[in-house]
Amino acid sequence: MPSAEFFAALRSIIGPERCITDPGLLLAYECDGITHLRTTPSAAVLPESREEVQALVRLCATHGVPITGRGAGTCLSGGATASAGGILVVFTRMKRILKVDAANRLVVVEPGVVNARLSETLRPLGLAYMPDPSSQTACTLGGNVGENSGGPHCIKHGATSASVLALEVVLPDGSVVNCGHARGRTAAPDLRGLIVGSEGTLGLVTAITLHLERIPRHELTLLASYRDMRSACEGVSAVIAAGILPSALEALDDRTIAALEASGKPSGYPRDAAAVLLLEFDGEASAVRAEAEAASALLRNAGAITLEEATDSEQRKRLWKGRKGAFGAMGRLAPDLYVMDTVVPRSKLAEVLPQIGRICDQLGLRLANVFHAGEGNLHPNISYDGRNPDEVKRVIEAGHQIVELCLAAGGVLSGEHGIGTEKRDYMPLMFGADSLSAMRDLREVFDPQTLFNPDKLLPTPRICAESGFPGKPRTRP
Amino acid sequence: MSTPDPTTLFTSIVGSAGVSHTDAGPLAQRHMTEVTPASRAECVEIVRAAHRERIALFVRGSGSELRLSEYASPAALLCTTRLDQVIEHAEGDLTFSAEAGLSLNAAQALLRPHGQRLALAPRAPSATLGGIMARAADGWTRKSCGLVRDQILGCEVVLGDGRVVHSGGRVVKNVSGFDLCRLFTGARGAWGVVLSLTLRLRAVPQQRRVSLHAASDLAAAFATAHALNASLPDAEVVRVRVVNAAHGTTYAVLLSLAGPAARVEEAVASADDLAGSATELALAALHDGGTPQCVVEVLPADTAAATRALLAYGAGGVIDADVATGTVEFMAPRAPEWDPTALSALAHELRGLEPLVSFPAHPESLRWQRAEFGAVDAANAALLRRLAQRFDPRGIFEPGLHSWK
Repeated sequence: MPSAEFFAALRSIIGPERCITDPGLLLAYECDGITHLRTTPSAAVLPESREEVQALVRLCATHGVPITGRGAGTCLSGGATASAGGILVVFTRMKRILKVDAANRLVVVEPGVVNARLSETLRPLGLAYMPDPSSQTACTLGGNVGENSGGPHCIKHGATSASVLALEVVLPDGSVVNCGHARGRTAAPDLRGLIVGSEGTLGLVTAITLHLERIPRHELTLLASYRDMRSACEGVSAVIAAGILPSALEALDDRTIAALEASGKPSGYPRDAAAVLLLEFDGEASAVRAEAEAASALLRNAGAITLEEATDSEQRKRLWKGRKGAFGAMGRLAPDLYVMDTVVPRSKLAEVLPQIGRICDQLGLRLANVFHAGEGNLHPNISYDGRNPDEVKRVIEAGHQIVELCLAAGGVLSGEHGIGTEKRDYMPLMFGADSLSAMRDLREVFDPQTLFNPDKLLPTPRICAESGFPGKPRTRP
Repeated sequence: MSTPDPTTLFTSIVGSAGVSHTDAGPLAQRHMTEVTPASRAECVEIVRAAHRERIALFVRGSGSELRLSEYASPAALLCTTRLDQVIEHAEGDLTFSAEAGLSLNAAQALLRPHGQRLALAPRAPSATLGGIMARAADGWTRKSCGLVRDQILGCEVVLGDGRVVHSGGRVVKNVSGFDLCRLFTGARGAWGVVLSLTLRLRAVPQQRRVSLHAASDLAAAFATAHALNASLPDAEVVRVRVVNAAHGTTYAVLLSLAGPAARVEEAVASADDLAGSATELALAALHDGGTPQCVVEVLPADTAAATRALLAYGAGGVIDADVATGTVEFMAPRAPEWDPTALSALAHELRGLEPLVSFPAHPESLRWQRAEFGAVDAANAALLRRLAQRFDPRGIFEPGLHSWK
């Protein structure tokens, strides 16, 4: 726990009303979207300017106090929780849109701007920020940068990194570096691209310059239903292999549909299908129509039992509301939900998904799948009761087996949720000693004291020893 | 202890067939050992030996953008062209993994029968994939498909201290650990050599039309180009082309439309309506004029101002100004005198535009002479230097070629 002197200094920088130390209030900050990974911060502070962030960082550096950045806390890898004895810097009050430059299709924002709010602001200008995580009504753009967040519409337009032009970053010594440039290219190696997705381990982002797209003139949404998930996955593979690039290609299984339809706000997904694919095409009318027709033929060929085009914007909105509300609907099934995130080659979907089902069946767990099929980005969702230690243990075991399965299929640890603490100890499964040591070097270059989100992303020798790695990851209450 | 002769040292790794000298051809002015590994393992051994013996390495792919500094010996040229194996073409996944020395031409020829392509278009199609990554050699695919950094899904790099690091993977979405692929893209070999990489593939467009539409003057050309860019958001390329010839100056809009046949036909009709009659051109016309003498990159809305700056500076030849990306290229049959006065005049004309200026046909150090040309600032340089101390602690890679190093 930091000293009384530290807390006094903290309050003098930020003011007592924006420095939360009350244990009851800090309960709201003890976890992010992964509820089985909990740490209570020493304090949660809410800066309103870059200068305040710099002062906080310098204070923490002087006192050797760990510091973790946090947006809305929707992170799904335990990355936005404090480290032992550390503080949280919560960016939700740095929420100004600093500049909108329609002519150059770019915007400059503070990190606490909520993703959906930016899109709403831009809509009258005919512009859009494309990455759209399912949590977009709550998650912040700073958090999106920290995790390199994705979303259903990233298959065509790319994840967060593809939209980030430049960043203003407070380094662990309190200095500021500007990475990237609004024009897109610089003479220097791409520190911008390195910082995106670095989970707050290299610096705290205080301003973000984002590239915008024009709102597409035409959108066409297709819903294909299948008797089994394997056929649906074969449909996905056929569309991708044909070189068709939808703006979204999502999959939902029957358990997800049942949860949605039981949620009191039916979305119109067919209740009798074992799996559905939700596809969207955007662009010019003729191109959209041509791509949708080509995809439809392939989906039918893969066994689609129904193929329906959304006839109006209301139906389209309802389908998307259902897709983005799927995690919330599943929350009704059990007290806790573990949203996993892995990626496999798209051609391996049909092979891997049934195996994930078997892993959960064998461990007696309730699984539902809703995922970014067009990118091979799986989200096995396991409903469980966190008050049952044995069930928690089985959930973590399932996570471990699913990770190993996906890596063996040529996949990676995470597609959009990041490593955090959830997958930190799995890193040696994907990376060799040289790669991990280079990543540690890189982290030390930015943060010699390792105070920025210190126990996230990279395993330490101590953690490996405690977890008995290779083997089972360390479990937390 | 004296440093061993690079020829002897590298011959012990690759055999005499893999070692030659650069005293012929365009490198005749620099006598260096040229070592060409036949495998990634050999390449790693060469780097480890160079690290051990403190031999500087300059990396050459196809040689299309080779730069050498005035670095004193011992130094060697590491040539990657024999690292040209395809590792995996996952046709159904639209990913392609290959060794870094494979040329883009060769890769595209392999992919074309499958209706697939790499969305890369550097000025030299003979460039190697590793070279394109190291130089972030963006081209005309930038507007429709994104930058080079957005095409690379995974990479394998041998660092200056001999460690072999992997980043990314062979899937299209990945946030597992630090994104070293992006860090190494455009790093120009500052920390290591790219051994292999995985790239995203795209379908070959069903149809494409490249066309030139004449305009009365510069203002009219930009007005038309901006109108086309706004009304045809899926256009592949929208440029203003200015040709300064002895008989006078001509202005035109250069347009490329690609995609499903029905869409291209529709777009062609709209374009011709808006821009007037078209002269159809071959795809190669996008690279007319040879290697640019100068490239100015600005915000898209400043493209016309950057073009005027080059004209005001007195640049003859051809100017291609991409209104979607803000890239203005100046090609000339004869290299202009880029003396301090000329550089100062150019900087003056570009003032306020925050440009990134490069001189592809000239030594890298030319751009460093003016901070206004997009120099690496002190804060970035300090981080990059510290990274270099970790990744290439003996500074063997390309000494003298990086302003920040």
